[in-house]
Amino acid sequence: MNDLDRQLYVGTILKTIRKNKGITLSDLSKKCNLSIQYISDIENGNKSSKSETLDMIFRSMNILFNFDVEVEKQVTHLFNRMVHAHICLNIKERTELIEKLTSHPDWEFSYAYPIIQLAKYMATIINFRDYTYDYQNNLCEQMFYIFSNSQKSFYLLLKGIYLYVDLKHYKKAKEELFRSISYSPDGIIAGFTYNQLGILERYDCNYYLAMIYQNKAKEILLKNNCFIRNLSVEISIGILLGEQKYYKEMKEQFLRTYESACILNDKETQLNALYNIAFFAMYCKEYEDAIDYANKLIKMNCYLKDCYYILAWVYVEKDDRINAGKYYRSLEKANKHDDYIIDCYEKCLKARINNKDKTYYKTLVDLYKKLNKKGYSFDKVMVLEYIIEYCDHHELFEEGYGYQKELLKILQKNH
Amino acid sequence: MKKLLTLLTACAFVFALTPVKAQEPETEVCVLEYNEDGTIKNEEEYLKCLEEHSQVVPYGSKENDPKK
Repeated sequence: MNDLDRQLYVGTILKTIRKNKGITLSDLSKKCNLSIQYISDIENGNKSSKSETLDMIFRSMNILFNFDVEVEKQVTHLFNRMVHAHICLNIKERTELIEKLTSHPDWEFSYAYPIIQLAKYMATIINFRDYTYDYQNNLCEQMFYIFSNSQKSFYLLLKGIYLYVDLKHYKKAKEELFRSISYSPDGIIAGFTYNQLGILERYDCNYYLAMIYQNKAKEILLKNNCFIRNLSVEISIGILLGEQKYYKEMKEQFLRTYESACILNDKETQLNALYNIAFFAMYCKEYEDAIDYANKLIKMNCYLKDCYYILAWVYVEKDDRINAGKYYRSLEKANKHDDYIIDCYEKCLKARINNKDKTYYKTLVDLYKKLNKKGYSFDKVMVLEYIIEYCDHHELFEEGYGYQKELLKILQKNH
Repeated sequence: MKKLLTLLTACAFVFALTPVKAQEPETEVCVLEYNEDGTIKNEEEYLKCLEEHSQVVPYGSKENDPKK
């Protein structure tokens, strides 16, 4: 960092701390006996100042600033390692590093202040520490222009994830993810960012674009030896194939992913791969596979509720009321109605088991209405397919035609 | 008149001190009830309720947690 950069850097830190302590320039100038213009020039990087003067200004805000430049180098090094560990899903290393970065008493008020705040922001996003999101985000926004390109990219990636996972603001999230890539197009962070962009495009059934992003993610992550994170991309690709009903390709994809996850000892991905085969086998009406894979997971005592649901649904479709009833009862037992919302699909199941066609149909329509307000496109497509199938069987041509038009609208928009 | 004023002041005071109730999490509105033999008990009310309210989230595929 040259002198001019350092000047701007420390000025921005000073300004950020002052503003967040609620101290005005006028108050600070009185406390330090310096002119408002002088302090303002320091804050904007237009004037260099001796360490003694800066020290005096910080002390007047009750801060002992650490002017050791080695701290910033050390913190930057640890931060870069932490980002690498995060992207490569090395959770143990990431936890140790984030703990170190956010709790060292002599590091926060130093030239490393922006990086420490970014580390705290990350700790908030991944629910590692309970800092206030708005406060940490505000600090990062104020210091954004003095972040390095990879720090900017990382901040925007985290922000994008927060926007879509916690706030369900998909459009804004996409914008932030695109901005993230623009600051570091081929870096390791972009690998993860493309994966998230692919997921968001898939939510809108933009399968072609989603596949391009997932392949780009795969290319970058493999180039950087991030094999475990790449498994998430492989799962996303499998889901893309499943949602488009490429059954054979989907199954092969998840089986490959399962094998890789076994080699890399990633239990969560192993289970996700098996579950997704069962789920998409149900969706694609490949019932033997759906039964086979759902039972495998039940034997492993995993995803019980979801597997009972798949089995009950499949047996209803196969018109095997005895087994459908058996798994529906297991589903009821697995549910804790006091702490989760009963799913519409379970009601549909119950209705079908009881031969209550109208209830089944109305529940599906209700679910579709709800999804129209806040659901993903694929969920809408799936429900519409069931509704249309029902209308076909019951010769509800007018209603069926209406829903077919809705389905076409979604598909044409995205293909 | 004085009594009325006192009563109004007391009401205003109690109202100001009452904490605003946090928004309840989304809960089930239309409940499907069953008889002991597993058949549906309240189909009509349930269908009527659906006309007025909407219901929730379906099952779906599973992806790895982006926050992990």
